[in-house]
Amino acid sequence: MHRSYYWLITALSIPAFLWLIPTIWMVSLSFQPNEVLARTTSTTAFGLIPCHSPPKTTPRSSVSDRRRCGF
Amino acid sequence: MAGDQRHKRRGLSQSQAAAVLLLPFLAVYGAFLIYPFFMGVWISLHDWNLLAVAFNPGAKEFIGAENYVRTLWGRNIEWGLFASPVMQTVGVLGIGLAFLGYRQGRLTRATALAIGIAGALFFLLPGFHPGEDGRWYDRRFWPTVGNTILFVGLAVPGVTITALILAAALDGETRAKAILRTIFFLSQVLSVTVVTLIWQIMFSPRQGLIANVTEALGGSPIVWLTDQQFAMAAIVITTVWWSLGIAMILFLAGIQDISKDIYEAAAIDDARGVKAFWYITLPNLKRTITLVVVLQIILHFQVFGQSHLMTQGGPNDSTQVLVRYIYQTAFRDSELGKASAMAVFLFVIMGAFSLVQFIVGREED
Repeated sequence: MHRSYYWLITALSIPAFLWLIPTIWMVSLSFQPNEVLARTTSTTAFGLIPCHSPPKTTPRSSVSDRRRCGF
Repeated sequence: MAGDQRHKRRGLSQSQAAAVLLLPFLAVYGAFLIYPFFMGVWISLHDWNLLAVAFNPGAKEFIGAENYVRTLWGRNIEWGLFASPVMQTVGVLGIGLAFLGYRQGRLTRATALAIGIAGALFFLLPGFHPGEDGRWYDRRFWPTVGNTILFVGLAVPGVTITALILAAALDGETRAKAILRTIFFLSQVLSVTVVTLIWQIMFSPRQGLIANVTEALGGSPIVWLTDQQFAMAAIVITTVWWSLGIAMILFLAGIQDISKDIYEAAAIDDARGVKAFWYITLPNLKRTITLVVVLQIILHFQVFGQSHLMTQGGPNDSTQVLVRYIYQTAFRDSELGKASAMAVFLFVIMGAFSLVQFIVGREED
């Protein structure tokens, strides 16, 4: 294969990944309990990778929610 | 010989057989398309309240073209040269482009005529405005038409250009390209409800992924769906993401129809990559581009779900579109006559674009 072909595929993989993000993110959210999603989606890293198990207790501020994954 | 005669006696002639085979289709087509269409036109000529007529079929009154006047016209309406400078300038540019294109042989007669008529309409229609003490009878109708045109004006080039570039880049028989094609087509298979749900949460300033990323980068999140500046952009982004797949597939089919010999001949003259795309792919895709653009225009003029589910036409009617307005007039305000008049207006627009596609396609044949 020509080297330009690999460049093309690499270049197109970036928009393809971005294209997929909304779907992947939505699927990842579907694994979270509803009561957690009603407050925040930040128990996943950028909403994509679950990085904490959802807390069982309720009182939390939205600011601490946002920093839950360390972002 | 005897067999032939027997066949003639028992069988149907070719035209009779064709009529019998066509009959079921014609019956369904007439019952579900032709009859409702003429019924819609008939309703548009009446003062027809949905609930009143449902309880008392006689509670409708023939009022001729009054619904059209109440929808499209107003009191003391005047025409001015600079009533809407941007739109009217676009119109003049369109007329000029059509004239020059035809004179220089770059545009066919039908294409030049279509662009010229569109330019004339852009020049004439926005010139109408209420004069002193005047007002439109329906203040929401023309802004709604404007929003729909804005949506079409943003979504159609967005979908067409992106799909064309992707199709040109992803044309080929390799596994990697097939996977990438599938990824870009994937969003097309989702229903409007799912797509709007995904993007509503994506755009959410508190929970959305875009807000998460913006905050992580130190910015403050944009309130996409409730900010008048961004609401239409949000709907357009959602639509481009959703409806790119079919356009890409049509372009891929068009590209695969172009003979490889032309590319090989061009490669001898060092026309590869972008040069080949510009001088070979684009001219040979003219018909496909026309088809995709016209299909997209017709499709996007009928936008409803995105506006209805994501913004409910807001904020401040900035994403109110024609089909949603027809729906509200008919089923919320129960003014079925007026809603039908708007639907007929929409049909005229659709019909005009279909006619353009037909004329351009016939001329290129």
